[in-house]
Amino acid sequence: MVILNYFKTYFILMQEIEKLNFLPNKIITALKNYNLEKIFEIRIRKNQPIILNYCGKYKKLLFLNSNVVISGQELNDIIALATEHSIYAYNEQIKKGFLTTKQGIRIGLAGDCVFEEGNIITIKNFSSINIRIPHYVKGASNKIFPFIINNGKVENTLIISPAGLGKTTILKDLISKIDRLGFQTLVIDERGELFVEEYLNVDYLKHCDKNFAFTLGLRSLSPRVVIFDEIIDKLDWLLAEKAIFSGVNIIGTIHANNLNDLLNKSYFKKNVFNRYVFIKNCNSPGQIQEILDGDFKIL
Amino acid sequence: MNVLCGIIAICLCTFIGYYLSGRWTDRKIFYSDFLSFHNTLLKEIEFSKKSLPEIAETLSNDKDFNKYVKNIYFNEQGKILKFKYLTADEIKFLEDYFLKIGKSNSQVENGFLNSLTDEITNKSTQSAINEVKYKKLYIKIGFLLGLMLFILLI
Repeated sequence: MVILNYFKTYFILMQEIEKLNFLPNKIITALKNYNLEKIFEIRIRKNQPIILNYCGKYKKLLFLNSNVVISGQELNDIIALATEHSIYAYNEQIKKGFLTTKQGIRIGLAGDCVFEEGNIITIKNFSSINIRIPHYVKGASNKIFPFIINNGKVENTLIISPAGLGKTTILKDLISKIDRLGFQTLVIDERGELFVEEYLNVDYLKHCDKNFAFTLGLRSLSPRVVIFDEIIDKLDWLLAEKAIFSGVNIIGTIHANNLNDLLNKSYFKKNVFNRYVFIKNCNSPGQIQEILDGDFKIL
Repeated sequence: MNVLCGIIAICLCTFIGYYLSGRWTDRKIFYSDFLSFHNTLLKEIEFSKKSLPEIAETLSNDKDFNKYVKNIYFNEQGKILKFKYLTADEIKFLEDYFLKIGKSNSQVENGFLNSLTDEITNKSTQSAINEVKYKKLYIKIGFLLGLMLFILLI
């Protein structure tokens, strides 16, 4: 049994490493000495030691007790491989400061922004990148799921935490659970991070902005439930609100440290969502701190 | 007997001429595929924005140019294929082409590719003209050599 578990863990590790095949061998080799499950981010800066977000703490990536350093050329090679040698195919994302690889790994980008007539047209001369390692944790939404489903209906739910604590991990698991209940679901996957596999009742609108997705997706795909990542501004909030008031149930996420932060957002309105799920800052992603109802009472 | 040998010599030499002209046919096919790839790429960049490996995946495996492209995007060792019927300048042109594409946003890519369209079209047209010209020439030379042997033999 122990041997079987060992091989299972090894197999999962290899699958995860395979997703990072755009990284140079020296990084891959060094990463094999770490538990990939605990790596949330890999921060690569030109000519600087690579930094890992390991269980929420930042530490240098080491190989044989030495720092792993990446040159400017190697950084460009990483971008070339991550974009499949086709910057033009990823430029709409690059303009927003990130790209999502084919394997669903989001890479935040920093470099020289190129503007034309006030609009950003691309980023060039990349100087640093932040690779967010996605984790699909089966059962990550187990704790909140009973609170989200009420009388055969999906409650309008907002998942709240600062960046990197596992909102997306919970959403990914929720998608599979809601699919199993047979709700026709639309997933607005703005950054290509929410896709795990094809499901019977789930439609994905990938790399699509929320405005388009909410307006046309709701009309043409007629979902009962809409799942999306990150309400960023007033427009996103209004779109979600409009969808809720037109009879669709929403599960979304938002960045905030606590309830006060959420209430202080200028666009926040009560009586839109009736479940607020707060995520704890701890070693493993997606741990629940508390779940509140629409009147902010603990459930 | 000599007449028979002479006829065989004519057939053999004509065939050798035909065989040697094959490189011009290969060149023509290569450049015709290159032009077709170039035009496809222009359309893809403009509309569906498929990545280069995705475009390469749709190419068949049986042609030299397609093998060349697939080798660039799917061969991890990255050794570039070279074909004997291409000159050193042509090989350099191809290497530069594939080194430069995919490095920018769609406007820049379009500009770059459009600037090369005429050159690639010319290369394709010229290789088709050369194929007709040299194929006939090689066959004729082969036939004439065979005829000379025929005369010498009888």
